[in-house]
Amino acid sequence: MEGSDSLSWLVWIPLLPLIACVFALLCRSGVAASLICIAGMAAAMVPALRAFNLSGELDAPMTFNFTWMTIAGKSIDFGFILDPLSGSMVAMVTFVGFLIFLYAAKYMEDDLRRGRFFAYLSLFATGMLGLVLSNSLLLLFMFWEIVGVASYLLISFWFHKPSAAAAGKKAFITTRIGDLGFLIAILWAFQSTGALLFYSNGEGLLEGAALETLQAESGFWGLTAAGVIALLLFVGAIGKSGQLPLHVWLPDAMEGPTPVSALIHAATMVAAGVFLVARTLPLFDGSPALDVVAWVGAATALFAAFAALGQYDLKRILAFSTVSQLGLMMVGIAVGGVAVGMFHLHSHAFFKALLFLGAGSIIHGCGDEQDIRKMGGVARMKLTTLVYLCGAVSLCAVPYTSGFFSKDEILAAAYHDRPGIFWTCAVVSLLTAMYVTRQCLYVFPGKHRGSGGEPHESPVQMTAPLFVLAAFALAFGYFAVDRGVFEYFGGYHAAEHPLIVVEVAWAVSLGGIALCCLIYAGKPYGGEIADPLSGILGKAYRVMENKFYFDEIYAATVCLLWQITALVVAILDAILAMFRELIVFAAQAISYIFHHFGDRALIDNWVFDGTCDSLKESGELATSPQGGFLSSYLRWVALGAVIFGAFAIGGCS
Amino acid sequence: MLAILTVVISYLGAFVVACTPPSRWREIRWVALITTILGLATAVCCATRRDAADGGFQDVLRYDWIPSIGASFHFGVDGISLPLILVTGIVAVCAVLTSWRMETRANEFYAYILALIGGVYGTFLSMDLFLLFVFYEIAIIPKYFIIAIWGSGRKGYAAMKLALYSFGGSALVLFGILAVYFASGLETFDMVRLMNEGDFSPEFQVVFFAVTFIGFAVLAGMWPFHTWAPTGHAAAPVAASMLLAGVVMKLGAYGCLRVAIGLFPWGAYYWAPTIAWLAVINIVYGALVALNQKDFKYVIGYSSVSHMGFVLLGLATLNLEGFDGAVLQMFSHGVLGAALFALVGGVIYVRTHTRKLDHFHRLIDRMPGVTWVFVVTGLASMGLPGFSGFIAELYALIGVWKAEHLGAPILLLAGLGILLAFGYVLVKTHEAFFRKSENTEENDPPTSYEPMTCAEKTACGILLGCSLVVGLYPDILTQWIEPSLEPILENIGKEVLRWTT
Repeated sequence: MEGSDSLSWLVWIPLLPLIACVFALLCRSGVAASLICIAGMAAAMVPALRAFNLSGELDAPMTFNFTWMTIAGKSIDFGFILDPLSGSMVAMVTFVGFLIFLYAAKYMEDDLRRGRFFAYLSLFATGMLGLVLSNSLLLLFMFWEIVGVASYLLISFWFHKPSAAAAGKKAFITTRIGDLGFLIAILWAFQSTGALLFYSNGEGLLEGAALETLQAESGFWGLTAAGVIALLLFVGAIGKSGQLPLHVWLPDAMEGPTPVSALIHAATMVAAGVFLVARTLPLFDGSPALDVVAWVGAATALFAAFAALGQYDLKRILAFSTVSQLGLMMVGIAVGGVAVGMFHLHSHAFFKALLFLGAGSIIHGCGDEQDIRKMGGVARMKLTTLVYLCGAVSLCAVPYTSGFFSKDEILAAAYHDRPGIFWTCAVVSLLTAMYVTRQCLYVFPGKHRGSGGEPHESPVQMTAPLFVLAAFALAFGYFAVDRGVFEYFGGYHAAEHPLIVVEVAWAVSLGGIALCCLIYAGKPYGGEIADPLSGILGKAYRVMENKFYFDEIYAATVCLLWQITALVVAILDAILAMFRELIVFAAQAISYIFHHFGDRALIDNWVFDGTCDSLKESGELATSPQGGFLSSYLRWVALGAVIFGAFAIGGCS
Repeated sequence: MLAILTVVISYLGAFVVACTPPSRWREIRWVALITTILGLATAVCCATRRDAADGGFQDVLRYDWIPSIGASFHFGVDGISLPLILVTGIVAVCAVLTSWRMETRANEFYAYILALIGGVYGTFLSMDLFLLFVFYEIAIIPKYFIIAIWGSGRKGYAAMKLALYSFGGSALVLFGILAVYFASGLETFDMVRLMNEGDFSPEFQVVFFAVTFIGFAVLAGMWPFHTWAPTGHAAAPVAASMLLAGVVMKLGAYGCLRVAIGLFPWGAYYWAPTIAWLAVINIVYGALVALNQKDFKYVIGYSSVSHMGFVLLGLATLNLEGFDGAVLQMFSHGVLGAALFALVGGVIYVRTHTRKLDHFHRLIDRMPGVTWVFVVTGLASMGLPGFSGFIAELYALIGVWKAEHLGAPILLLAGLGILLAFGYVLVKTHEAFFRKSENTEENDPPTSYEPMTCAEKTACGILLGCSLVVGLYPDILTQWIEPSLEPILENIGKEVLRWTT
């Protein structure tokens, strides 16, 4: 464990985008603001790449800690950490972020509030980079919140759309529910060990005595304290990474102004939850918490993959796909350790960034149309189509693309210990290949079905970043494995890949694509506009159907499957929505009751005003004899005299 | 010696302002501003001169006042009162800046405001119980007039309600003070001596802790004695709402800590679980009721009730972390509560002339600058890391976790309160700034309002800046607070050990 001040330059990585953010806010010109932010990101890339290079040579994490504050004699330290986990993340975030910034400069060209948009993007980058570099649970939480705020601002950036404003609110509040778990975990860890640093010369939370203390202390339900804290942290991760049942905000977050912000939420921010689990994995070790992570991840992956099949919105399909892939990453971390999960996180970041930016380019080219039923014929946008397909094959995990290598690793790791998870993941992979193919079939071939003009290619400032990402989406996996990604992360590596794993991996990806093509081939699809092909091939179709029956069987089963899926998803969503509404309703009702009956009726009217009124009444009663009428006074005097006289007489006798 | 200047300056300023004819309101506001700035400068001087390692009273000044009963003019600053006089100074300056355009009877208005500020300083600086009570009363009277004369809505009702609640509370406090005086047999009102030498029986402590604590807690907005707060805040003119939320509520909390807990440690231990429950009720109940308000100022008023719950919760922990949290929350809510009221009751109200949430129609289009300042302030007040609210709540929650006499339900309810705070801040922000209103105003609303004036920007900047500084570097306050809490905690530890065995 080397603690050294020589690492203080790490601070620049999150600081540079922050400085850019401040300047961008002060800047009146949108162009200048975007240039400042791009420059800030490019500048941050330099120390980030240095950190990445350095991290490969480390035997143990390097840290740079300093005291932030003291509480009751205990000091709370903050610090930054350099290890493969943080080194690879900062390199990926700055690199992908830089490309996004470049792309956004063109995409947001016409928006009047471009300067503000870039300021938010930079703020987001600050939060994300700080988060991955944090060596303290509390510091990580603070950056985590900055990320949350930035995403709130970005999602509701086009607040004129009521749905966007509502989606921002929903995202913030939903992730906050998870954050409550995170906060309690921090308190618990601090109370039990007094340490919030992850690594600090043997005294950190994730090493030595503190970890043993937590593993020895007992928590709830037969779990150790470490296990409970791990689960609470996982609750935080569920919120941030859109896992079941807190995934509801993520598809809505597509209301963000651009695929750029959609990408940020899909490929970067949501990865924060996965990163948190990876970072604190020693707490999960040897505890049933890891099973929870695996099963929640697998269930999410399956659910979201089904949901993606039923969507018609280009960005929404990608959003559900992201939820599904995040589930796989969780599975990867749970079954295979940091290396497996993080490998998939990185390769996913590249191809999903590519897909989102590509989707942005498509939407841009189709005149802001997002419904795939109204697309078609997008293949005219040759460059975009080419790079989009690169991303798509990687997502499908077609052999030898990045997605294949990383997903294969998850499957192999799961196969050893948890066959249930393995088969779930296999089904997820099959469905993934299917929904990607379905989407591509809708979008690219055929004639354009939209109401606007023909799709037109996006400008080069938008396509250039896509090509860079496409190269990574295809080749990153191969090179990563070749250069020893697993040794780099120093984690577990499933040494042997049983033949069945490889066979399944091949079968599901290629099979999924083939299956989908088979179902769709020659079928009319897309919007209200009838496909002209069906008129020409109508009879031939029927003959083919009668001849083989395969199509029908597939169609029937898959259609049924889809209908059932849609129904299940709808019911699930309805139940979740009902719960949400129920909670909202209950909160409103309680709040109403407190307001009207508690405060207004009981405390104010009855207690306070009532007391005041009765005081007033008694005052009136007391003043009534003193009406100012001479006659009434005389009457009282006379009465008094009589009583007095009566007493006097009584006393005398 | 230095500290008492804050009180002297405020009353001098009040006197000068009161003697100036109201037609010269432009000069009057400058006098008020300079007075408050001098007060703040004095407080800052106290802070810079302070020896942080020594937790005792510094800058002490003592003259005999009524020797026959042992009352004296006895002033001093310790680490608990220092953050509070700082926040008083800050909020005072910003309150004057926010009501920069006040013309109606400006001389009286500023005279009352400065008298109120002087009373608050005096209360925080008093080391003598009798003196503390006198200043505590002095601070109440100007509030009545300010609300009754310059208020809005049901101002007469609100003013009377506030005065009655305050006086009701102070009656209990007076009762407690007299009981302490006679029971101790020391013939002194000196708080330090009473704390160290006053030897009160456990039964006495149990009864009179309750009496004094409730007396002070009324002013801190403790449930169910809280309803004066939203009504009073809403009816008051902006400067008064800022001072009410920012510092006057802290008077109550300060009294709870200094007098009730300081003098009756065993009583505090006995009642701590009850207080903790009342505190979480404050937090959750306040947040839920805030969610149901239609008047923007009432939302902020109830959020104050909710936030003050964290102060009470911190006090109920009876440990260093919790007390730290309580004092930090007093500071934090002081600046953030004042900032929220400045925005809602001042900046927004003078432009829209309404506070009804359903009359606001997409304010973001028409006052974008104000909107973003409000969003940041709202985020800060709901405990966003980086701002003071987060640190204060974190300390209080750590305190709760550590306190053996408080259970997990308290912690969970407080956590729920934090979540609800997110709910009402975001929901109400949405309603006020982003929502399309169904019932738009009768006459055409202007398409854009005047941007924030320089004075308003300065006020909001100062308040948010203070919150940010404390949020990023809490040691700046805790270095003073912690040493001064030690004697109180030692006393609690001693008494608890003594009466439990």
